[in-house]
Amino acid sequence: MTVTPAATTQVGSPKRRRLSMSRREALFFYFFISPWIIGFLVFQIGPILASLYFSFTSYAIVDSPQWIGTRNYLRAFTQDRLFWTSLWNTFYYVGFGVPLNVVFAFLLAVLLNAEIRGRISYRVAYYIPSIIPGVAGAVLWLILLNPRLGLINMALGVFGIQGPNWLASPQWSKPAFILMSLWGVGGAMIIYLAGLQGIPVELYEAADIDGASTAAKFTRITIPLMSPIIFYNVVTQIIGSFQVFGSAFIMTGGGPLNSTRFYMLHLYDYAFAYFRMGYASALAWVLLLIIVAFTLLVFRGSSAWVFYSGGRQ
Amino acid sequence: MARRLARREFLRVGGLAGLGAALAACKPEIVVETVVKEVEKVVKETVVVEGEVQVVEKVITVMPETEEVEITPQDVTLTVLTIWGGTRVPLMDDMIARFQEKYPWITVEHVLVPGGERLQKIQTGIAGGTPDDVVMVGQGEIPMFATRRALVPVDDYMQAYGVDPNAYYDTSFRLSQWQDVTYQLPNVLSTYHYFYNVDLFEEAGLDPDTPPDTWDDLITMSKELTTWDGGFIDHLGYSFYHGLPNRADFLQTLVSAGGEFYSEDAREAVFNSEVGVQSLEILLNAMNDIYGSVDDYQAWGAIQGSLDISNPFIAGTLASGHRGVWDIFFIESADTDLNYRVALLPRPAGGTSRFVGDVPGGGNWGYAIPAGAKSVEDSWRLVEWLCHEPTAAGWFMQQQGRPSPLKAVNEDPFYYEEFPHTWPDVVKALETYAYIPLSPASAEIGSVLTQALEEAALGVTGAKDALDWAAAESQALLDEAWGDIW
Repeated sequence: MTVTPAATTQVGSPKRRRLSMSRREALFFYFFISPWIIGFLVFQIGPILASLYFSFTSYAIVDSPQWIGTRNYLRAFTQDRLFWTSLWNTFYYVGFGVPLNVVFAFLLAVLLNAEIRGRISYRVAYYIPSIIPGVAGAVLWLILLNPRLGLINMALGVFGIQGPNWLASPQWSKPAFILMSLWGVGGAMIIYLAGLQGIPVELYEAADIDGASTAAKFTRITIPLMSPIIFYNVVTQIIGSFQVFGSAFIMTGGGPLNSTRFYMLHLYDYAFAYFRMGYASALAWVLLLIIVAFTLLVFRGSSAWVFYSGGRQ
Repeated sequence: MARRLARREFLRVGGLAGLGAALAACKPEIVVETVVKEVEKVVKETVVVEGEVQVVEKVITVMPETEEVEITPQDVTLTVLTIWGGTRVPLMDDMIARFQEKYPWITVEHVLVPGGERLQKIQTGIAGGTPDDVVMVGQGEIPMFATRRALVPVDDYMQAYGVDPNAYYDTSFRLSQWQDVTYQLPNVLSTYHYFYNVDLFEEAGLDPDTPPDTWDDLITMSKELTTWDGGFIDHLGYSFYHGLPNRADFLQTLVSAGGEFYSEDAREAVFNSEVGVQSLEILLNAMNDIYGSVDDYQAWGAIQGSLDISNPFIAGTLASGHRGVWDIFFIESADTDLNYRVALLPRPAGGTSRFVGDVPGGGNWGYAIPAGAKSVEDSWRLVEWLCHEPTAAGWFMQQQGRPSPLKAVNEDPFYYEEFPHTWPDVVKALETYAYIPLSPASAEIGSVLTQALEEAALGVTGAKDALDWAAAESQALLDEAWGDIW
C-alpha cells in the first residue's frame, strides 16, 4: 500500500513566507536604530541643511539671511586673522591629546582588569571624573592649575620643579588642556574594560602552555583582539577633540595670545559675540569636512592594524 | 412680627453673599493706561554709495500720538533674563515681588543664565520667536541689536510714562542709545577704582590717606609695597585689571591722557595716536617696574578674576589693584576682615583721572525689550521698574554699595552710612565717566585690541607696532560694519 504524501498539502491555504535570516537581521537593525533615525530626521536634518544654507549668507541670527555666495568661505581662508591660529591650536590638541588619551585609557583599563584588591573602587574612582559636568570640572582645574596654590605645581615642587603658570603662559596653556583632558579618560576606559573582559581566557592559557611571556601575550593577544575597540575610541576621540570648546570657553576664553583659541571657540565667538552666524556656519562646515577627512583617513589605515576575529565585514 | 431667618435660608443667603464677594474680588481691575501705538512708515532717504547718490526706501517705526484708554489688564507672565546670580538672587527676588504687588496681573519669572550664555540665549530666543520679555543687554551690544531691529525702541514709552533722560548720568544714558534712538534703560553704572589694602599701606610706611595720584606715584608706592622672598615676589604692590595690562587699563589711561579711541562718529579707529602709544608705554613701563618682569609676575601668579580666598587681594598678598566697583559687594559679602579703601585710578602726568568700561564704547548694563516680546507694554513696565524706580532700580544698586545710573539715588545718605570707606571716592569717580561712542563692531574690535595689548605686554611686539596693527584691523572692521548698515 502506498501512502500519498499529497494529503499533507492543503491546496488554497495561504503560504506562510518566512523571512530570511539576513532580512530579519536587517529589520531588527532598523527597529533598534529607529529612535536615532527619527530623532535625526525630526531634530537634526533641518538645522544641518539650514546651517549649510546660512553658510552662504550674511546672517546675524536676529535678522534675515542675505545670500552672499562663497564670501564666508573665502573670508575664512584669506581674511580671518585667527582662522589658521584656531585651526593650528585644534590640530595641536588633537595631535597630542588623542594618542595620549587612547594610550592612557587603555593602560588604565589593563591595570584595572588585573586581579587586584578593591579594583571596583578604583574603577569607580577613575570613571567618576568623566561624568562630572564640564563646568564643574573646569572650575576644579582652574584651582588645580593655579601656579601658587594648585596641587599640580605643589606636587612638582616636591621634586624641586617650579611649575609654570599653566593657563597664563602661551607655551603651557595647550599642554594644560591636554593634561586636563586625561582626567576624563574614564569613559574610554570603561569601553576598554568591557573589551578586555571579552577576550577568551583560553587564548592566554594556550599562550602560557607555549611559554609566552607577559609582554608577548600583551602584544600578540591583548592588543590585536582589542584593536577594533581601540579603533572605535580613536575615531570618537578624534571627532570629539576637534570640537573641544567648553573648558577653553570657561577657563581662558582663548587666551593667552590666542594660544587656547580652539576652532569651536572661534566659531562660537563669531556666531554669538560678533553676530555673524552666517560666517560661523561656514566655519562649521569647514570643520565638518576636516573631521570627515581625518575619519576617512583613520578608516583607510585601519586595515593595517585592526584585527576582526570574525573577519572584516 | 419679625420673620425669623431659617437656618437653611441663612446659609443660602450667606453663601450667595460669599460668592458675590469672591466674584467681586476676582473682577478684572480696570486701569487707565497711556497706550503708545507703533506704526511703520516708509521713508525715502538720499545716501551716497561709493560716490553715487542713490535714493533708498527705508521702513522706520514711528510713534504717533499717545492716548489714554481704559483697559482691563490680562494676566501675563513675563520672563526677565539676567546674569544676577549668587548674592544678587535675593535682591532680584525682592524687587520682583514688589513689582508683582504693584502690578498684580503680571507674574515675573527670573531667568538666570551664566554670563557666557546670555547673548546666545537672547539671540536664539529672538530668532525662534520666543524671546524673554525683558533682557539684560550690554551697552556695547546695542548697535548690533539695533541695526537689525531686534530691540524695541523705548523713547515713546519714556515720554508716555514720564521717564526723564536727565535723571540719568549723561554718559550712561547716551550709551543706551543708537543713532539717537533709545533701546534700553541703564540699570548699572560700574565705576572703576584703585583698590588698596590699608594695613599693607601702613606696614610699608605709606599714608593710606594719600593714595597714588599719578602713574609715577603708583609705581613708586607699588615698589615699596612689593616684597620679595628668595628671588620671588611674595607680596605684590599693584596688579593691573587682569594681571597684565589689558583693554580696561589701556582705555582708562588713554582717556585720562586726553586721547580718543574712535573719531566722534565712531567711523575711524584713532587709538594708535601719539597719546595712545604713550598711554600703552606708561602701562608697559609700570608693568616692568612693578612686576620686575612678566616672568616674575607669572611666577607669583594669581587668578585675578575670582573673588574667593584664592584671590590675592582678599588673601592679603596683593596690596592694590585696578578693579571694578562691583568688587565692593563681593568683598563685603565674603567672610573677611579686609581693611581696604578705594580711590580714583591713577592719571598720567598732566592728565585727568577718568574711567571707562572695559569694552570700547560700553561696559555697562541695561534692560531692553527684544523684538517679539509677548506684551511690550507690560515688558516696559518691568523695564521701568528695574531701571527707573528708585525703590527698585536704585535700591538694587544701593544694597551692593554700587552707584546707580540714576543721579538722585547716589545722593542717598544710606551710602555714606553703610559704605563710608568707599562711597566718597565712588562719588568722585562718577563725575569722571568718559564717553567713548558706540560702534557696530565693538566686540570684534575689543578682541583685536586684546590681542595687540597681550602681544605688547609679552614682548612679542612694541607698543606702537601693536597699536598700529590693531588700529588697521579695527578700521577694516569698522568699514565693513558701517558698510553693512548703510
